[in-house]
Amino acid sequence: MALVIQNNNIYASPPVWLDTEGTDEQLGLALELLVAQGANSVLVFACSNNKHSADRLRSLLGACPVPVFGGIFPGIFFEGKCIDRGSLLIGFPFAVQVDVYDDLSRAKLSIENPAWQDGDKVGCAADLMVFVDAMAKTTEAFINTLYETIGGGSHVIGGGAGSIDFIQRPCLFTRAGLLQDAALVVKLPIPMRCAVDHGWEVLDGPYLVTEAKGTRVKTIDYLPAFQVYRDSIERVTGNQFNKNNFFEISKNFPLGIVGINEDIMVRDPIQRIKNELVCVGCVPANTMIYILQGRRKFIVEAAFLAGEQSGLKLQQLSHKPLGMALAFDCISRSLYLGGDFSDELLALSSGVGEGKTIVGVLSIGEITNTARGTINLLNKSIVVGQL
Amino acid sequence: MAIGNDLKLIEMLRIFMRVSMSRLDLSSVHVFLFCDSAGVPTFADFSGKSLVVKHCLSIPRQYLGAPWAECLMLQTMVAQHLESKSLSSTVALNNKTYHCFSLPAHGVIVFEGIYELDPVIQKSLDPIFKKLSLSCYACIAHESLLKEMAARHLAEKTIAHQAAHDELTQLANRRKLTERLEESLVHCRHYQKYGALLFIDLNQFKSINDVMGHDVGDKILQEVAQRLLSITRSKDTVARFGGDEFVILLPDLGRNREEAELIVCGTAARIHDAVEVTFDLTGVGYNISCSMGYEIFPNLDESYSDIIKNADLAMYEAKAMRQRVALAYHPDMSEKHNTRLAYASDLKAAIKNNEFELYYQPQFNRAHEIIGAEALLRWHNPKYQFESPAVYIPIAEDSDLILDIGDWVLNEACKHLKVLQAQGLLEGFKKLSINVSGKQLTQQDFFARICQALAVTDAPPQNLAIEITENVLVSGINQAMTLMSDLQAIGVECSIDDFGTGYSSLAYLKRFPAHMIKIDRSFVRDIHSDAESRSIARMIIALGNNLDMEILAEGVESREELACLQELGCQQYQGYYFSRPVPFTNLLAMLHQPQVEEVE
Repeated sequence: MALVIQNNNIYASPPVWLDTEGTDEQLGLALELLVAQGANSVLVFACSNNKHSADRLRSLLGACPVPVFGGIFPGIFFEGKCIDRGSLLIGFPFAVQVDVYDDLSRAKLSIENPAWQDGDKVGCAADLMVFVDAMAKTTEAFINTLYETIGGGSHVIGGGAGSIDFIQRPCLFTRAGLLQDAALVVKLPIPMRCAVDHGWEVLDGPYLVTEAKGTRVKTIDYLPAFQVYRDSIERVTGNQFNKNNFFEISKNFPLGIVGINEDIMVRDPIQRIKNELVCVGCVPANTMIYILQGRRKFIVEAAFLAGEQSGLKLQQLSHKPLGMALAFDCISRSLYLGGDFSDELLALSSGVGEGKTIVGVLSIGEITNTARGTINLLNKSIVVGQL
Repeated sequence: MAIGNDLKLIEMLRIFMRVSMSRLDLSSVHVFLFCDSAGVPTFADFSGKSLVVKHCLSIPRQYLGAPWAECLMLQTMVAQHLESKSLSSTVALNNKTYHCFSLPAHGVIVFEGIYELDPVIQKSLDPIFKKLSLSCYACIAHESLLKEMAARHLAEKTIAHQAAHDELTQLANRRKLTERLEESLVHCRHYQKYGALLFIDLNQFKSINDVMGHDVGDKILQEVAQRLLSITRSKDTVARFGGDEFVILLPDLGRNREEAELIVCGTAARIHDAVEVTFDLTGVGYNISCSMGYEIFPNLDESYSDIIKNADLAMYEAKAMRQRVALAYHPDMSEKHNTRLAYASDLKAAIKNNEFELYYQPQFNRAHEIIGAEALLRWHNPKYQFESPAVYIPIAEDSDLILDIGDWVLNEACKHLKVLQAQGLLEGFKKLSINVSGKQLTQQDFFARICQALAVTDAPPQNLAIEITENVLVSGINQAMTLMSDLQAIGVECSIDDFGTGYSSLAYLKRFPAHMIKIDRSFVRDIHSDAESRSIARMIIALGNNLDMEILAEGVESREELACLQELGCQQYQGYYFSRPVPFTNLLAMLHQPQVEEVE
């Protein structure tokens, strides 16, 4: 384990501990050291390949005298390197309020639910970090309810935690231990500014979603959704679908929902069930969609733009920034870029600029606010928040 | 854009607002609706009803921690839009664009976004808002209908409850009890099982109502109801039958009569225990008891009303026994009851046939001079001529005949008083006394009746005295005190009869405007040889002297008793030692004699 960032002044640059072993002991030790260094809250990014014990972590986290928050992700990155085992712990000089929303899959996600009426939870205006269990069945409904409750004006960054075997396990760090089927909403006492980009381009379309339910697209232009999707890709790209290669092809051709202002929100079709397409995130009926394609140059450039834009927004504020950038980069972008993913991290670093600490995770779904204020669950995108 | 088919207004609007936000890339959506004076959304129908536009729903709920519902900027924008009477208006403010659209006859919807909506899109929204207005109308009408139905359902439920329950205790009422009893009777007959009906009457409850007021009485009845519920099974029915009467139906007691009897006795014991626990009302403790009768059914062709009647009769018998028992109904009780009914019928006829006569038992002073007489009822009927008034007066009391008899006694005594006056016999003869029952005291016009009798007969009020027993006084203190004061004002005096047998409070005794205390015969009998009776008599005499009341001893039957009473300081007497009750003509004859002979 190594202390990889340390200035004399915690307020100038938060200390970051990198543990490459991914053990409970190392994580506990890092926690202790960060608290000893004056941290008033600790952000934990851990890899899903780590060997953590929920029981052991419960006692370690419970013993920590300051708020702990974060998640377990398929990968984490720091200083241009992405690893799939180990943990990053960042000690913040300020305390944060961590609100836990548990039992997400069974909770009644409605603004009328008493759980969402708690004034202390939803009452104040603050910029937020949001961590959700990506395997919870109601992740997007949670995000929507969160926006309906707290409203616009907050700058939000976050992502889905979990592992890419898509088995639900405890994946969110709190002082009560590791949680699953839950969400954490972390209120920051200092401002943060975010930017998002994806780099995907229109390949074919537009099409009208004529029947859909939640994340399942049933018909497109009144025809079976998979048939339309398959015909388009086979016709335009020459790829040929067979019984076993759906995801191999689909990861390169996501769907894009077109907004009234021609913004495109990416939806990743990860599964085919009979003639339906199952996406990460909802695709409402009667929406206009395109089939998208990726070009490595533009995908990588998206990381640069997100880093750059978030920095520019932060510069418009009058306060002294912490010099830290947090990135939630979709795991599917890493899969798409393969060995070229280091280029994306380089572009991100270049976009954020020198002298800033960049920590990030490979997430399963990204969360941020749009320019109009709403909070969205995104796919195949990179979200960068600077504070 | 989908409006959805939810019939709940808020839900329908919420779905539409969410879809609008998503489709039109909006930051927030707000709906303001016309509401009536109660704040309930309604629609403008040009009927002239006064409507106000009120914030109904915002998605999201707040902005930077401030609720949209309280946003003045938004309210002003909506007011200005309504004033403009246009279908849509647009305001650019703080890098945001606000589009206000009229919802015909229903209100305004506001879209907040960062871009102005294309005019073509705005135009295309017109038919959607018309449809949204129709949906609002449908939802409001539906919700109004639902409210009406709920109110009606509640009213029906309330009426049904009221029809089946007692208002004060919320126990089942007589009607519900009857229904349950009928069902149980059918069930028991069909399955050869037993059930039972317990009839409970609170003892001395009337005294609590009279003395402490109905508020206290009502609280005790409510508490009794709760206690009875707490000691019964869920399948039992506890009902308030009326006044201080409760009935418990035990519907399913198995097929063995002895076992059923055991369950009933166990329940009765629990009822006694429960009722006899002190009632603590605002720091004051009240103790009451109850009398209970029951019947185990079914029996031959007995109907539900027979069962209730029989249990009631058994209760009545238990009450007469003045013991802590629950009596099972026995056919003898009905026979006895029927006899009483026949007795009552004969009593009624007796008034009509003028079969009553007043006898008088003279009252004497220490010098053996007649100073007054107590009127006593005698019934000249071949069937009952040897019957003591102690037998038929209680029957008359039960059947309210006592009121007619009392009136007759009052008028007859006044007539006799007038005769005494006319014959110049009232010089040494001070009082002619009549007894008054508790029921007469409760008559609102009893005082007026006395005045009327005196006026009609022209009898001298100062020679009439009313005797009220201590027990009657205690059970109707307020009426008694009022009556005694009123009588005192017209010269009619009052005596407290059978003193020592009741439990009158000394504090009250002091306030009674009575002129005489009559020592009960039970303390006079063998007073010379019974130290306890002597002590009580001494105490009563001392009490009378202290309260400035005259003392008269009743039931003096021997010289020894008289001597003892004289020694204790009692100055007035009445009893067989001096004279048995005699017809009025005999009294006249006695009064014409200067002095009575001492009886040996």
